Amino acid sequence: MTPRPIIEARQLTKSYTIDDRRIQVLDDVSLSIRAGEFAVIQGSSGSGKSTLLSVLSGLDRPDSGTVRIQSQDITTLNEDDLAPLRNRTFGFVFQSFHLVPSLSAHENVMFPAELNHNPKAADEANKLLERVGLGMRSRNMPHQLSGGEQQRVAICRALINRPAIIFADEPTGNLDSRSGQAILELLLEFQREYDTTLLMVTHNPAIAQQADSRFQLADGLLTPPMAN
Amino acid sequence: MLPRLILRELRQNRQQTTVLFLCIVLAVVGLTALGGFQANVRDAMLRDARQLHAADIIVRSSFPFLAPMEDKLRAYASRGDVDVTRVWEFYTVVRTMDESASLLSAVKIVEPGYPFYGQVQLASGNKFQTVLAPGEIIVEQSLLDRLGLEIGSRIFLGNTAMTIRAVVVSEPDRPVTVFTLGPRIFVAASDRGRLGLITQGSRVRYKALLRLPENLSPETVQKDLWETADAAQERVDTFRSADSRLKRFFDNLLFFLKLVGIFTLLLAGIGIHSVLSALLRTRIKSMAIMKALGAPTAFILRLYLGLVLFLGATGTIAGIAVGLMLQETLARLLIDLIPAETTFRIAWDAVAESFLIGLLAVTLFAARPLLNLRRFKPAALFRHETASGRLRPAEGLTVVLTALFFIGLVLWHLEDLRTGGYFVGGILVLIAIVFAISRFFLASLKRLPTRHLIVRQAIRGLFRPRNATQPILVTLTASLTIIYALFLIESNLDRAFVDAYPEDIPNIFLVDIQRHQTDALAQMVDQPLTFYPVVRAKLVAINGQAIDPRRERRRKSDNLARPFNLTYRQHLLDDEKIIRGEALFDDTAGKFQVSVLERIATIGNIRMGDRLRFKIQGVPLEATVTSIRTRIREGLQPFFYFVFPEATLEAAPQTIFTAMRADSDRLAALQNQIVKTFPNITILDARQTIRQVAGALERFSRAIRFFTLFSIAAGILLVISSIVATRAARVREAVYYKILGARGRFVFYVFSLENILLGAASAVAGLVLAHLISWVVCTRYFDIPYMGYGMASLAGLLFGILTVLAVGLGASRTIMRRRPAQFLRTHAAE
Ligand SMILES: Nc1ncnc2c1ncn2[C@@H]1O[C@H](COP(=O)(O)OP(=O)(O)OP(=O)(O)O)[C@@H](O)[C@H]1O
Ligand SMILES: [Mg+2]
Repeated sequence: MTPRPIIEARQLTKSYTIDDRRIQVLDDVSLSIRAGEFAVIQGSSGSGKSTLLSVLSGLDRPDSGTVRIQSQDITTLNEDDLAPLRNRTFGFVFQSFHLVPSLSAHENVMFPAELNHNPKAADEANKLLERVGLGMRSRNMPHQLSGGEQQRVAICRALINRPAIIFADEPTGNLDSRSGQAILELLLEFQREYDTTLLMVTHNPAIAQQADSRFQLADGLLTPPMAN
Repeated sequence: MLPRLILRELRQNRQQTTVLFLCIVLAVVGLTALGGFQANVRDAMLRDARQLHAADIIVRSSFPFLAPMEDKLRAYASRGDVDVTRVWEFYTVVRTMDESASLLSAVKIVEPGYPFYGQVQLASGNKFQTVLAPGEIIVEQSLLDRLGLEIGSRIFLGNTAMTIRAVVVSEPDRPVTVFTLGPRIFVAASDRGRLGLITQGSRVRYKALLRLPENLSPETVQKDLWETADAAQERVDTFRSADSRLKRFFDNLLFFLKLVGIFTLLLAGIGIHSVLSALLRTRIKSMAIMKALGAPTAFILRLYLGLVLFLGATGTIAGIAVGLMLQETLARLLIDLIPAETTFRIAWDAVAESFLIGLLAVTLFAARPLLNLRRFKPAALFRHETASGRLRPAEGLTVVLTALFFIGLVLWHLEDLRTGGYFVGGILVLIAIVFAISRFFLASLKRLPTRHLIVRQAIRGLFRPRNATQPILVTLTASLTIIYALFLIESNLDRAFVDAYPEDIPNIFLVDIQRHQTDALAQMVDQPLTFYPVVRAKLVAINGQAIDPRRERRRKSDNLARPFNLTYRQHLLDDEKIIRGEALFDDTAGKFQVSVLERIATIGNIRMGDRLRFKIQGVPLEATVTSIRTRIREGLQPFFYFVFPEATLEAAPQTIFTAMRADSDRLAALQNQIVKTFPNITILDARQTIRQVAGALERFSRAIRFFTLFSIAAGILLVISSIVATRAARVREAVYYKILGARGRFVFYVFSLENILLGAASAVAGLVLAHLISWVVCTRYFDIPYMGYGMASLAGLLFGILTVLAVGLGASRTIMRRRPAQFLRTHAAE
């Protein structure tokens, strides 16, 4: 028996209009991803990968269509209803890290746990940072860290509440290939260990090779998953 | 290419450039309006200075001229080329022929030559000199109205019946009609003896007016007359040196308004500085890229310099335009108080000055942020931090130049080195204090251990990199301090005015009462009266040191050389309190002691035990100070600087006066009754005056309030600009919070708390400083008692915090409701 899909999108459309010109970024996109799966979205630059990820994760609204997360329709939810979902069910890793600049590495990591009223937030954040080799840098502010270090902090932050799904948008895009590789391995390691669903946008064919399913995005259309 | 780029910058940063533009406009508006107004009023006064005094030389005294002066005047008159004419002015009561009505009037007895310059205009258009004849008088229309008379009617002036010949419309040397007790009556000098009104003791102003030939400089004659004059009572002025009460009054008013104008300029200047810094901060990336692409620093500098100059020029012109319109508004607010001949034209020198000041201010306040541009290296593309804040020589120079510009402006406008110095020093101290306070506040916040997430995030927000919280805190505090201080000073001035004219103040003064008439008088008016004996005297020496009349006249406050009204009694008045000494008098000290009012003690530096020597109609009297009193209420109640024991002055030549309140409907009857029974008593009806003075004061306070509004507007603009400056960083943070699962409420709480911390710190510090400043200004400069306005202060505190909160939250409102993806995209690009 196939497990119920944790992410289920139906007929998503999204377009932008600039100076009377309409760009159809998503055109009737449907997909479903099973819990615990590692899925990859591929496509050329500007094909709408980031847009799709934003819509699936509730960071953006589609023009039409629905997104169900664990059977719940999130397209109609307002921002506050989405908050617990973002806090506990989702974890985000971005190409440009997006760490809170006024918080130290340690504070960035423990922030989602604190929002969740986890009394052991500080300890768990420390453990995660140790684990990614940043135990010594936990007091540093984001601007005092290198790109690879910042991304490792961002991964710890995405994981601290043990989310069911991690959305990663080109997490290695800003890094050299060595540290990029390290980041990817880290993500996959956590994915297996925590049994989370990982939905990642990547250009890296080697990584794509390891995915459970791959989606190809072109001209707003999604090619059905190719199972590896 | 440059203009296009400048336009694009303008369009892209509409909010910030609008604030910048408004700052520049505000910087210029106030000073333009005041400068223009002052130029016009002064022009009018100087243009007509000869006419305003009706002569080249004016000799004045409260007593008949002494023999040497008389001789000198006679000598001048007999020279042939110099004309001399005499004028006597005093108040007296006129009565209708049937004695049914009477009115206090301002009599002016003139010799045929009067006026040498200007015209006494008659309603009929006839020539004054030919109309005024013996046995006839010329009166103001209001006298006819109030007594129900017409031209040709006869009235009693003293005990002589005179015929009203004409109506006077205006006279040259009495341009302002606010502070008068009654309508004017002109009398020919040939009637002077017949009227018998001028007797020893009645308050007459003696004047001699001189007209000089072209070849004789007024200053030479003035010097010559000075040598003969008894400095204690005779005053010699040229039409240039005689500063009319009007001029002094305007100088004082404009002085205060200019302080406000300079404050506005300063606030607006800081606003320019902070908006521009913020604008350029958001441009670091783009500039780094431009540089990386090979654009020379000079190009970038030109771009933003062009932007600043464009805004500076348009803003200054707009400010001047508004200022010119406001000068009319100011004139309307002060109508009746400015010389009627003042024509409001554009004072081009004032406009040029404003333009220069505006551009200079913009350039100077913009210099530092612009010079900062040179520091941005293309490396900013790779590093996330900006350069350190060490001052470079060029920047240090701009700081010094800005300070010098500001100091120069203050001295130039205030025309008073000492006050200007205090002002500048005060501002510097204020900034230093504010700086220290904000630093201390931030340091203690940083160290504050806090476990609460919202509180911690809020505090962390204050230390956001590139947030410039310290400068923002300083500007917020400084502007709130100024807003509060202006409000407090204005309220205190206002209250001092209002308090001086309460509902139940006496509106009738009875003067020249004789001792034996007091009981009968009290019975007649049917109300308890306090009688104040008055002995006219001069203070001639303190501890043997003679009073120097010339030095005394230079004082801004009261002076010791003028004639004083002494009184005698054994008790304190209701509104008095002893502050030095045991009681009003020391029983063991004998007859020759005196109690002094604190105000004059301060002015004359008079202490307990000092020996004061007076002269009462030539008779010396020396007494020792045995107590110092103060008044617990300021107001219109009569008060005396010097109070003697009864035994000392009882026998001295004196008059008695009393003050009472009478309802308007009873007044006429009462007045007639008094005049009939006690013809020697003069009734001063102060109702009209009180109304006029109260009206005038209200207009001043309106003018002042009007101008403080500009300062307050500049302050609020500054609050807005400094908060807007941190908006980008805040929006980004809000987006991150949301992505990590924070609800809108959390974001709202964190930002609210952050803004409240900022607002409360600056508002509390500002309020404390403002109270300090206002207290000093009120008690030291304006000499009025200080009131704290607790509730209003609290409201002001709330207003400050809420303004900061509203502006701060307003900037991050949209982000709360919308999906974060869009923001993420724009801010990721930075
Ligand atoms: N706010 C917007 N307004 C207009 N067009 C937009 C906006 N956001 C995205 N687009 C357009 O939508 C298309 C898809 O953008 P998106 O960022 O999803 O592409 P992508 O596949 O992630 O590209 P890349 O691999 O370069 O990151 C692009 O053509 C982009 O120009
Ligand atoms: Mg993308």
